[in-house]
Amino acid sequence: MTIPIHSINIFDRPKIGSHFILRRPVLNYKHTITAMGGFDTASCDIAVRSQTEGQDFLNNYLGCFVKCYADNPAEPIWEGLINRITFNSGDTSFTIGLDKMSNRVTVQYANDSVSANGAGTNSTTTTANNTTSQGIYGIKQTQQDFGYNRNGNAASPNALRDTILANQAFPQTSITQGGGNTNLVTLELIGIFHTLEWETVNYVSTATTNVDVLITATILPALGNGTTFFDNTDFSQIATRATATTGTQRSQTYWEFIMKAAELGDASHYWIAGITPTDPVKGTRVLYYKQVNGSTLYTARQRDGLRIRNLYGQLIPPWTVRPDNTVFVSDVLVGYNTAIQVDPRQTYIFTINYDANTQKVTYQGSDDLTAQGAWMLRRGYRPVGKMYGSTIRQTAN
Amino acid sequence: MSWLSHRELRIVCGVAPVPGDTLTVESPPIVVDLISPTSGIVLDPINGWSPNIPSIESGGVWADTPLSPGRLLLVAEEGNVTETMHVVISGSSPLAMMKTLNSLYAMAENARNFWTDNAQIQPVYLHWQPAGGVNWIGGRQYSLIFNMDIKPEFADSETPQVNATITIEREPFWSWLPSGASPKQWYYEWINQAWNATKTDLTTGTDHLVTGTFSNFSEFTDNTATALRSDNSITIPAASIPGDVNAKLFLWLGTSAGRSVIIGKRTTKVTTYSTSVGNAVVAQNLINNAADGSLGTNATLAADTGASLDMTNTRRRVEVSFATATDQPRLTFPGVNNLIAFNRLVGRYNVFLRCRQSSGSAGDVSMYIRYGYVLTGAADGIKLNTVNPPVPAGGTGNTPAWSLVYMGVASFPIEEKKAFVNSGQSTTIARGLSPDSSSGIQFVLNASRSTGAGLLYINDLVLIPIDEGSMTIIPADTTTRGNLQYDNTGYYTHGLPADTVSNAAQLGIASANLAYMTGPGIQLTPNVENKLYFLTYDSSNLSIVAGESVSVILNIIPRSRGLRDRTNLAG
Repeated sequence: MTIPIHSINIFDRPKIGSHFILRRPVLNYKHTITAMGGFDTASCDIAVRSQTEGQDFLNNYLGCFVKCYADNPAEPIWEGLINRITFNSGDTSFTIGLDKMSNRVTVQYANDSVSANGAGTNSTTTTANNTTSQGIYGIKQTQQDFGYNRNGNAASPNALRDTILANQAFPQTSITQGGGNTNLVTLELIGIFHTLEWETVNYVSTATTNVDVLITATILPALGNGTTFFDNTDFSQIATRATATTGTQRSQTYWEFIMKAAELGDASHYWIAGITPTDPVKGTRVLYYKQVNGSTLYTARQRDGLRIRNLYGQLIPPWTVRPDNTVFVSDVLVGYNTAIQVDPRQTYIFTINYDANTQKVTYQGSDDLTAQGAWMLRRGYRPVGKMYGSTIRQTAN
Repeated sequence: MSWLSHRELRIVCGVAPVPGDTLTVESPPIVVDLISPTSGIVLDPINGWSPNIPSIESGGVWADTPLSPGRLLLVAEEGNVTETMHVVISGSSPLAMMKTLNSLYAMAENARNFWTDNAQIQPVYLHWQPAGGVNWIGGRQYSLIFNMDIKPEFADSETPQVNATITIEREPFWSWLPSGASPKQWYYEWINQAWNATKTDLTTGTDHLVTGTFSNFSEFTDNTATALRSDNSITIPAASIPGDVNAKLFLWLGTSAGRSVIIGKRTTKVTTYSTSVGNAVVAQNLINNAADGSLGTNATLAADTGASLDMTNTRRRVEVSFATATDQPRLTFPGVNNLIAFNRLVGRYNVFLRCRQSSGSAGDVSMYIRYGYVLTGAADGIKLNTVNPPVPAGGTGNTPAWSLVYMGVASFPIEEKKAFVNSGQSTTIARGLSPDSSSGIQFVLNASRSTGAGLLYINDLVLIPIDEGSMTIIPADTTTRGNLQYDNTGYYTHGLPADTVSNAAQLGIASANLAYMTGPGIQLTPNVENKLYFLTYDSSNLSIVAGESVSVILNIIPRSRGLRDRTNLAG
């Protein structure tokens, strides 16, 4: 009994092109897909046969677009960008990543120049760019908060801006001692929607605008990365949504803005947003913004460890399971009367996690306290009074 | 005398030149003979060596819950084999003995360093030919060695002698050709003829294990459906794939420039019935002509010289006018004349529609397929992807400019039941249905048009199996290179087990130009009939050329866990 080889196809960095570079079988493959966002994260190991090959990965493939395949050659099970590469060689781990890279920097500061503006106004430095880095990886912006600038002079915020840009315009590297398995390259991957976290949106308006119009007419066209990572001019997957919203004041990332817009919902249902997989006909990805899909697509049984099945009981491969669907556990609460209240056997799947080694896919619904901390870190609007971190302890009476 | 002994047992480093090849760049392999008295190494007569069988790595992956009895095996892969050899190394002098011992150390280092840099690219493998009794000589078999440990014990004897224990870790299976050998060599062993440098061409000629042709359409000769005029598959007979482990293969396809190909393998037989020939079982194909389907809302038939032949021997397309533009069922498979009995299929299949939008912009029309039993409502069945058909240059004319549209994956059986239930019917059975006519599976194409005036033209529905092994091969150069190749025998990688694809500049010269593959690749299941299904398309615009015929050449390297079950005089 076998599972199909999982493999990764690596292509050019999206800013540079779309040519194929290489294909490798992968080990220890895992991925996460979320209803809000789409392809979220993935990781895998590649067994390299030499120091040279490992160093090639460090040197050449950060930021490249990837597609991961299992048994279906026509449809990848996950796609995104290489965000971090770790090469273990003997006792040393070399890591290079995009997380700390910033090739566009601005600094905000509170201006208190008595002679000019009075207290309490906010200013932003002009934008500083490293166009060489942007020409390779796309725009990745950071906005620093200088804080209170007593003399109102922009010199200090500008200096901070320029220092950050000078040191972080290119991917950052690190070396640690005491690495893991030798000659394994670990790839940590991020989904395309994370590139919406790479730019901040400055939109100030007192007008009220429908959410979908705001996204299509104002927000997406202003994206500095344009069509680099997805087609920001294709609005075919953006549903009409009449809820009015006002513009934001302080800078947020594009993803925070879109996520908050989706979280507004429609007073009855959740709405979600994210980036679609690459359309095999058009060859492009687009932003989706739509009501959640409440249809039951999957069933599961407690007696076999909740392995995912279709509506008719057929087992389906765990790597094909997708969120934004509902799963129904069919062998609990048999005889439950669904007319009384919401059926507790049904769960809307917000997130799925797939692990190739165990061939398990775990899914999370709305009320999973173990994921509460992670969720709140990812939400646009956070509840007042909740804690981050571990589950709240229940004490006996 | 034991029934099993070793006629040949060697550790070899290198890829042997082909006999008669005067231009070879290969150096003669380095050989350490483990049983020749003149080599200085002799297997211990009692504890020398016995081959092991691979065991399951880490015990496999199981689904285990305390709520149910027993547990279910999910995944089980066989791991490397570790074996121990006990040898006696001797020499006429201490120096001679040490030279022999050092040759073993060198082999171990070569095995560990194989393809870890660009210096050591010679495979190190175990070469074994068993024999037994008085008359039996087995076939030669080979296994790539990954690691060797040598522990010498300097014997207390008058002559120089070392008793050494060699621990070998090798690949799980025996290959019936040496590492890095051309897979065509197996064909010559298969036909018991000598192999030499005049026979090495892998891309031309008929001296190959399997040669054939496939068409990217599938048409019957007439409406009796007993013979296929064209077929998008080739068959590898069971007898051509010996051994007990999946065979590695080398595949060459005579594709035109810029063509990509999708390939899927299926071993389970697929059959159906035909009423026109009195319930005769006819060969299955996995293509349903649209003109043979059941027409739905606003769907008509139109003559089209670029369409494939339907069961009335007419070239026609299905044309959807969208007079009612909302989401409607437009076409149902099987129709009266279709022959795919979906409920007889087993496994997972990619579903493709060859179609086009006649005018307007991509996105004007949306479509999806539902499949299941008795699909009457929009929510019935299992829904595949919602897609938009392309608008290729063919427009409204009679043209073979179809586009290949990926619709999703269909999985059979749909439910948990696995058996084909015999209902005991004795009456004739409608074409395309099972003996139990109420349980036929249908595919229904739904489509809608949001804007514009484009029509939807449909040629056929194609299934390609993916769960027994599948891949696509996509040339990086879409304009000037044809002839796609796939090799997982290790020939193109000088003995390293790996999948490679390439497209050749010209026939007969296997020069590697850049191509890439997606999917897990294909190996052939031994001792059963294997069918490979193909679908070619233009990489740049997904277009299909009607009736394109592609030649195929296939060679294999059989493998086994234990002794070869086939001996060749030339092997």
